[in-house]
Amino acid sequence: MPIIRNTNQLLNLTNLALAVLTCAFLGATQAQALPFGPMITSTDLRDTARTLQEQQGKDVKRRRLEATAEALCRVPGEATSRQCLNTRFNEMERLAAKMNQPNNAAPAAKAQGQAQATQAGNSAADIARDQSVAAIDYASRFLRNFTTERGNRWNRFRDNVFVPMALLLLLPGAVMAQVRAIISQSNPVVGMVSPIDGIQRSIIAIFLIPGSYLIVNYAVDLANSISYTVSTEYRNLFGSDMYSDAMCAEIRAFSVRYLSENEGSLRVPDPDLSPIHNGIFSPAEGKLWGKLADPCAGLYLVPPNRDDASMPASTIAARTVLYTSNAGMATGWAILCAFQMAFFYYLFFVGPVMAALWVYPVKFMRDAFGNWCEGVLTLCFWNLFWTTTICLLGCFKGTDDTGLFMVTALNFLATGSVKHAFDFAGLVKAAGMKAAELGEKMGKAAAGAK
Amino acid sequence: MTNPVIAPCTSALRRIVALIQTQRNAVCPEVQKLVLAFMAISLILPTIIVAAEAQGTRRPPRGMLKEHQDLWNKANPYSKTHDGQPRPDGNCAGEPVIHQSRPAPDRTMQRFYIFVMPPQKQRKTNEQGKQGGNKGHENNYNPVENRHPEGRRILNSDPAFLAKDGVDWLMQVGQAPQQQMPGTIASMMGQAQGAADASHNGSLEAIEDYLPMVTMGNVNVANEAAGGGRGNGAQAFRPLSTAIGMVQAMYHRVYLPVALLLLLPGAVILHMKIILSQFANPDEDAQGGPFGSILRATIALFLIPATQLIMSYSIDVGNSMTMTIAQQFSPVEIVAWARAMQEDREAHGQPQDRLDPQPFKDQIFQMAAGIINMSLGYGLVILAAFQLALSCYLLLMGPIAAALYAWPGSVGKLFKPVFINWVNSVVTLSLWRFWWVLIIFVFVTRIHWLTEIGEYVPNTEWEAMMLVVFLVMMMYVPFAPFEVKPGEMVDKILDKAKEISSAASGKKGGAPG
Repeated sequence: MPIIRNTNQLLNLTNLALAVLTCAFLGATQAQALPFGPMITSTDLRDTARTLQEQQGKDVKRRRLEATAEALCRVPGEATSRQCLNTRFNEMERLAAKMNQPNNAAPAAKAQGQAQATQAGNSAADIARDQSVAAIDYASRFLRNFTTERGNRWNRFRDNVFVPMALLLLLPGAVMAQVRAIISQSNPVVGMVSPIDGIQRSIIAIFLIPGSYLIVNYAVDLANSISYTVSTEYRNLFGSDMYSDAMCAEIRAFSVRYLSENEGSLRVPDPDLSPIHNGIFSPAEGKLWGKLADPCAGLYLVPPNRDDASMPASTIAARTVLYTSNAGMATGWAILCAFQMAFFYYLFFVGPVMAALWVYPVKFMRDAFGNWCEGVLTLCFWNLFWTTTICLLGCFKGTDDTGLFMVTALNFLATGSVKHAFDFAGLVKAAGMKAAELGEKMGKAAAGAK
Repeated sequence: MTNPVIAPCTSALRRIVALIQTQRNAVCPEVQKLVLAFMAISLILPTIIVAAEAQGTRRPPRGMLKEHQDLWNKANPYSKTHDGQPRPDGNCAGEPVIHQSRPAPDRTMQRFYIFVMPPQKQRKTNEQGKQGGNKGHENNYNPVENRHPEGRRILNSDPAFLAKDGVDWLMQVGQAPQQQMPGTIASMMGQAQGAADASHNGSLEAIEDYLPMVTMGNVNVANEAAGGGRGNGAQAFRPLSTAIGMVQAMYHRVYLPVALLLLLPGAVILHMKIILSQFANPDEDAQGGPFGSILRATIALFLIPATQLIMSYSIDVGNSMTMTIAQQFSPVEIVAWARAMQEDREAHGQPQDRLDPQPFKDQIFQMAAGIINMSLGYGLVILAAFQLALSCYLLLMGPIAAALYAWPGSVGKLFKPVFINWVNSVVTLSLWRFWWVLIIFVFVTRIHWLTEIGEYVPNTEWEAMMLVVFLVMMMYVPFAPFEVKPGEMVDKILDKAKEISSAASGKKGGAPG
């Protein structure tokens, strides 16, 4: 018995099947976006670039402009001034409309963002490389012992301004300390101290005031001898210059392609992001580098398939974060090299004043000289911390593709070690926090890269 | 029991064959075609969708610049004829990258380091212009006939066609991603350059304003002679002495009496505490014996009016120490030092063909350094104002702090320790200018010393760093002068260095984050 009796039935069946398939198709495509996404309201659905595109089309009467352009092309006969004027008006209106058309502007904006991020990352890498090499160069130099030249400006001003000032400050301090000592003998309301506290302290301070000179003098010499010992032994053991190796490690980590090293157009090959070495961090670094340069090893690789235009947005984002963080740390390191000297100058001048304050019966003044000694010694040990960091930079050069991750850690160490000095627990804690901060930044940058 | 076998039923197949036969007999050829087309679509469409999905899964878009261009080319065919051309920044010559030792006269150089890395050239040469490309009218050249087409009378459709095509070319080629690159980067760097100039000049202005201000010394707000009448709010302009006079009036009429009123309950409470603590758990308040409270109340009674004296002497001692140092140098030298660096920067960045000839990294670095210096410079001017404001505040708080000396201690940081904290802050605040002037003096001495030994090289990067160090020390040292902790200052310097990394990542200067 036939199931389909006539044409109408067949058509109905066809329509039904078509409707079912359409629903299934639409359901399949929509299902990609809807089930796990955020709740979409009717307002959200209208707030899209497509709406903007439609609205802009209506505002500038896009269809009419296009139709007019087509119609003008079909006007017969020889050129008339009316036709020329109509053409020109239509041309300008179409140009303005197309320039601001969202689907024309959006791709350009995306490319602009990507290009700026690439350039920003490259500039940051340049700064990081430049500043870290400069910082290593500064750290390789001996601190000039400005205290040794008799009669130079430093000694002259110290002897003629700050030592007399300290002696003047000493007197009221000694009197106050002694008065307090006397009062305390009758009533302990002001504390329990020796009856000759003021006298005793002032005699010691008389020796401390000129003695502060020697502390700075010895500290500078100690700092220089530490640097000398470490760098000389590195050369004796490994046969190369420690500072050169460290500089090359920094250059290798932050080498970026310059304008002339990129192909130039956007018709570039697909990237090959596989590592070329088998270090621990090579797989991660392989995804990031665009150029490998190590002047100490004669290495200079600029592969065409690592052109800046070939690199994925995630690579650009990760590079930018790492390079900018290093730019900050390396610049900080270079500034700290200048700061070390500047602070030595300052401490040299205030040394006698701090020694005089040791007499005063107020705790924060009395502690000042101890703090000053600690400051001078800590400052001199900065050389030990930096020399050790530079030694590690030299040791780890060439163990990965670029060494970017290791160098980042060591650049942090260069600044973190002097900040925390001998507080190693604090340093370790800060290193953990820094790594977390970098990870968070990279995550944010990658999220915003598309 | 046997397992059921699932197999197509032969009768079902027979029914389908019959169905198709019936359909052939019953339906007209057009409808048959429609049904066949429909069936074909319904089979092919899902296959295409699945294939597209698989394609997408295999190689998702990665946001590469080349991808942006490829996508654009798909929608804009004219653009495709152009994307092989190098970008308009042209076949720029690659200069070697050089890293070498730079002047740093405060340290003795052991070895001169130099690394030279010549760049590799990856750029293509320009291709011959294609249709609508660089050849213009040459596109119309007929190589077979070895001539250009002859001119003819212009038709109405000619200008219209040229205009339509012209707009399409302009949009498709001009708006293509690869055309955006040079302008975008130039725009970013132009903004950086503008920000660098503005901030450097801002920092110089701040330093110029600040240095003479700081060498003058602080106003002695506790000195009766510094106050000049009381004034009133109706006056459009009033001298500073009027404000000081008003503060002193408040001190005498309000804060001193309040302090005296506070003294009595404190002394009573302390006395009760000392009596009670004779029986159990005597603490530091009991050290003065049973009459300790009376003794402390008496001391506090003298301390309350003495706060004005303490304040006055502190400011005077601070000012005299400041003046002693300030006589040794002229602050103009620091301004000249900072200005020389800015002028040198401007000389290097002198526009050539309306563009800054410096490398991008230098522009970014200068912008960051300028922003740091300006924030520090204006920070110092604000601190000079803080010193005056805090002096007035501490003068008014002095009697209250002294009255609390008669109150019990061991309540955290309350009551008895308040007075010593007040003294601490008065001494520290009064010496702010002394430390500032001392640091200025250190840097002036350094410049003179280096000049004497012939090693002063102005306008170097080292000097720029010294300027940052100078400003950071000015911002930090006065606030903890007796705690010499260079590690703490590293934090300040690293904070400032972070601003450089922010600037490099484009957070200042117009680039995206």
